[in-house]
Amino acid sequence: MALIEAGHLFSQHSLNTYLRCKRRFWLKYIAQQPWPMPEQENLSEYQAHLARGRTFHQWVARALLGVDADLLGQAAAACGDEALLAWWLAFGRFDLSIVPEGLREVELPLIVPLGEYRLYARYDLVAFSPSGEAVIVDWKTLERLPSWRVMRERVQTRVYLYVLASAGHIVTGGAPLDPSRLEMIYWFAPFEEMFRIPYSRREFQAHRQALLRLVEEIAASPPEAFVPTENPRECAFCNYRSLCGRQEAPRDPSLNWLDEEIDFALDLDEAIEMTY
Amino acid sequence: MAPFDDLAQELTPEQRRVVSFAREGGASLLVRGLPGTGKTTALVRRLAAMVSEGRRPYEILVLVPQRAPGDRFERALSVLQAPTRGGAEIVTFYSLSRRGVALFWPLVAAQAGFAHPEREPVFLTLETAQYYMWRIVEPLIREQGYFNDLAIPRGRLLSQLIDNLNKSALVGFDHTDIYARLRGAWVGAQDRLHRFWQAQDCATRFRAFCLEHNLLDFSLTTEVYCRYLLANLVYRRYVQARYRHLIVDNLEENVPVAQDFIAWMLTWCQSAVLALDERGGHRIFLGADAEGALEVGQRCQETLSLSRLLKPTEHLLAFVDAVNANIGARAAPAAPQGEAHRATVVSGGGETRYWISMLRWVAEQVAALVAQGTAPGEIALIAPYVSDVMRFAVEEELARYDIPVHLLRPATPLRDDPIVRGLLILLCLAHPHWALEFGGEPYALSEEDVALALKVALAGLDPLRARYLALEAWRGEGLLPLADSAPARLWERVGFQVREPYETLRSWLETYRQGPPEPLDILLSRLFGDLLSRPGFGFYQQPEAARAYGRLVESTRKFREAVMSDGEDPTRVAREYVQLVLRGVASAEYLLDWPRPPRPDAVILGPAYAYITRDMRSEYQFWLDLGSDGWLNRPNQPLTHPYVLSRRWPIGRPWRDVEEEEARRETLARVLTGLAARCNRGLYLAFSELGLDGAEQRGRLQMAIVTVLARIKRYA
Repeated sequence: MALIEAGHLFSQHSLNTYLRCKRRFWLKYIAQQPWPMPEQENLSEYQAHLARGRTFHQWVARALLGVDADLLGQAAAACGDEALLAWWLAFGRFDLSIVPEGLREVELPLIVPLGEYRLYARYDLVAFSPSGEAVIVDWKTLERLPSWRVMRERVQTRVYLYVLASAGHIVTGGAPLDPSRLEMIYWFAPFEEMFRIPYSRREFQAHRQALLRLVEEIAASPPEAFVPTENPRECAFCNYRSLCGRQEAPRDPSLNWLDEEIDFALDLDEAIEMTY
Repeated sequence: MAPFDDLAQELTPEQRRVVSFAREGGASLLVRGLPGTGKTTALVRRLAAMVSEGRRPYEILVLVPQRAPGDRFERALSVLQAPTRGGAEIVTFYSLSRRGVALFWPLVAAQAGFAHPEREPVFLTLETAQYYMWRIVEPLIREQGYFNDLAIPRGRLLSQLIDNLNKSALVGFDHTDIYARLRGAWVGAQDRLHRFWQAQDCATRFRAFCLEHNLLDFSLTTEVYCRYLLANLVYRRYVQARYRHLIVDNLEENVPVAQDFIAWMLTWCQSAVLALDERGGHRIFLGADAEGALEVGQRCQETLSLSRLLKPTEHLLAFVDAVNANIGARAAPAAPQGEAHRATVVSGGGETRYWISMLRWVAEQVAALVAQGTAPGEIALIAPYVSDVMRFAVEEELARYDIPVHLLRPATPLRDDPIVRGLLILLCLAHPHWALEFGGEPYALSEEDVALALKVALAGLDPLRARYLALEAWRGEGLLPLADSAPARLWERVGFQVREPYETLRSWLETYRQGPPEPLDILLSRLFGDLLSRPGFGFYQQPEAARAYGRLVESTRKFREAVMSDGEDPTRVAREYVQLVLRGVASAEYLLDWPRPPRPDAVILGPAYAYITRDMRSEYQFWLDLGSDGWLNRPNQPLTHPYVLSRRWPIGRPWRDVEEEEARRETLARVLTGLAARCNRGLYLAFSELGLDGAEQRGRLQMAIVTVLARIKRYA
């Protein structure tokens, strides 16, 4: 039996994990192996940051779904968490008019075929204009602001744009979307910074081939191919480090797994309820 | 039929009609039939067809009564050739409710009566709900003598009190009516009525506590969703914009409020297909309402009956019809066209006196079937209950033939896992001031406890050597330093490789005790990272053992997040958590615990209820312990009542012995029919003169089967 069966669901998180560490990918997404080692020294703070990120996403979703702004404001004012309140107030200043006012979908899951496998994206917000434009907005609560270039090269960017270009017409019920009319916006709540990343037909074709190659490579790999990363700095904040014998990995705060964990937790909530 | 075959199977004309049934115009179809007639396959194919046609998957709501059957829909989507391969909502009604309440909380929090609507809600797990219920009940027991005439374990007391609240929410009556409903049906001694009043009082206090502290247990989540959120225009618009198509499987296993929701959707969705199992309604203890399902189904514009069954199944159903008639069940025959005397029924009764001989006979028959080419996974051993003794005995007997066993079991208490118990003892060693109490009595750790903790924590210790070590290490107050002071022979007996890890563990715990106490999940994670996952310790390169560890960490974290949000004393919370788990309160079900599909090389062993509600199917079934009254009797639940607390039972109508008797017969008949309908070839009947406890077995089911078998023999 194949290790990864046809129909396996890949996501930007699992692909990103694979690219950073094949062993972590195997343990987390295939073996679903619990290994309850603290990711960081201050575990309470780490967990609080995860919880704050989830709450922020929930509040934003509520706002976009039309829940009364006064009610949301009261909740934010009473939360007792300065960072969360600051993010919320920052969101209040986000100019929603930059995204199309046509069809707006919140927390939208899309899954498209990729060879024999599937690719999953869950959009915080995706907005379509009647004239064929589509904009993805992703709210970020990262502790550090990456560069525009890093975000453009991110697996998430490629997966989200590719999935929307492939299946956006299912959402709109119209003609297939033209990739050159797609855009992805990352908005960083702690910094009130926004990165806009355009898309193109050429990138769509290139991403399709690259993503397909990647999932086929993963699916064809024997168990022994899922080896720990060659960059031990990746291991410092990985909970599997003692399983891999990498307890003493050098620390590099820019290489934590926090963003993945926030998104993974959001996905997991859904996975528990089998929404995809 | 393996679920994966849903897309490959050739469909009957009736099934094709389900698949192609209209997608637009408010069309609705009820599909009826016995289990095994292909209803779910037809629904899966309909979903696949709709997605393949390019419909927006997330506009299709698939409602299933529990999570496991939804996997069949998900698997079909996963291999589909379509523009999208998923995104359809395949959910239980509770998960829909919980997600709705979480997302739209500000819309309903104040209206539902929460004291702090501006704060986020805290959803309780089974564990945390029991914890809070215990905090309410315990002083009432201690100070006011509540339930003092009831001799049931605390876990069962709490689960019945919580069950009453759940029933009120799932059926849709006010939780303050619990007493009136139970009292109105009671025909026994009047001095028992105070129990119901006490149960009501506990429910009322618990609900008030939850409202005061923004806590949502299963019942309150469901009630807030049904009573407030579904009445809210913003949410109604959201649901109506989101979902256009409805697919419901096992409508009869759904609860009344879910059926109300389905009835509402029928009034506006573009298409709906509802499938209903004839003779279903097995989840009545969880609020399922088969009659209500029929009422909802009758609102559909069209009805289609599926009746195609395998011939051997038809004959088995006829055999079961005869047994049911002998028991006195009123239901009409399930398979009038079947012939009981042609059913493949092998009886192991008569010659078998002892319980263990019965299992030996079963193992022999299983081995013979396997030798003839039947895959072990196509054989199911089914009993009314599966005790640890039965599991062990079956595993032992089948091990003689190298046949493994796959156990179907519901969530088990965390403490039943020795790894978890050992870790909890370690937590006690880290907090010697906790002063645990069990049943109001102080509980002091024993040497056995400490031996278990050491065996779990240190690599290479078997129970005997762990005991030796505990005898020297434990004097009632923390682990003793043994590096220099231990008797010379200790390390010879225990193993010198254990000495250093032991000292490291002892010293780590000692250091921890000097500082402020940490939340248990964080302490456990740190202990795992600092020591236990490293060489010389019990979890070093032990991924399977780490699953139990992970389960405990997750449980403690969820507990802390639910309980500590209200500014509780962390020391008290930690101590009470450990007491709660050691007392055997069931753990919440975790994703990783969710049963994996049975292995094809393992015989299935499970209770009838679990087998049926997971909609399993086998070539051969063995019905075990047929002389046991467990087939007929329902669990003793002195504080709740699945029939009285239902939508079918009017307040004030007495529940007498005659109703109880009838309910037992009908429930048994439903179970037997449900089992036979899920058997493709042959049925093996296993009973013994004496039960496990040595008592003579004279259960009514056994008598009925013997009578029917004799009649068939005469006929033949």
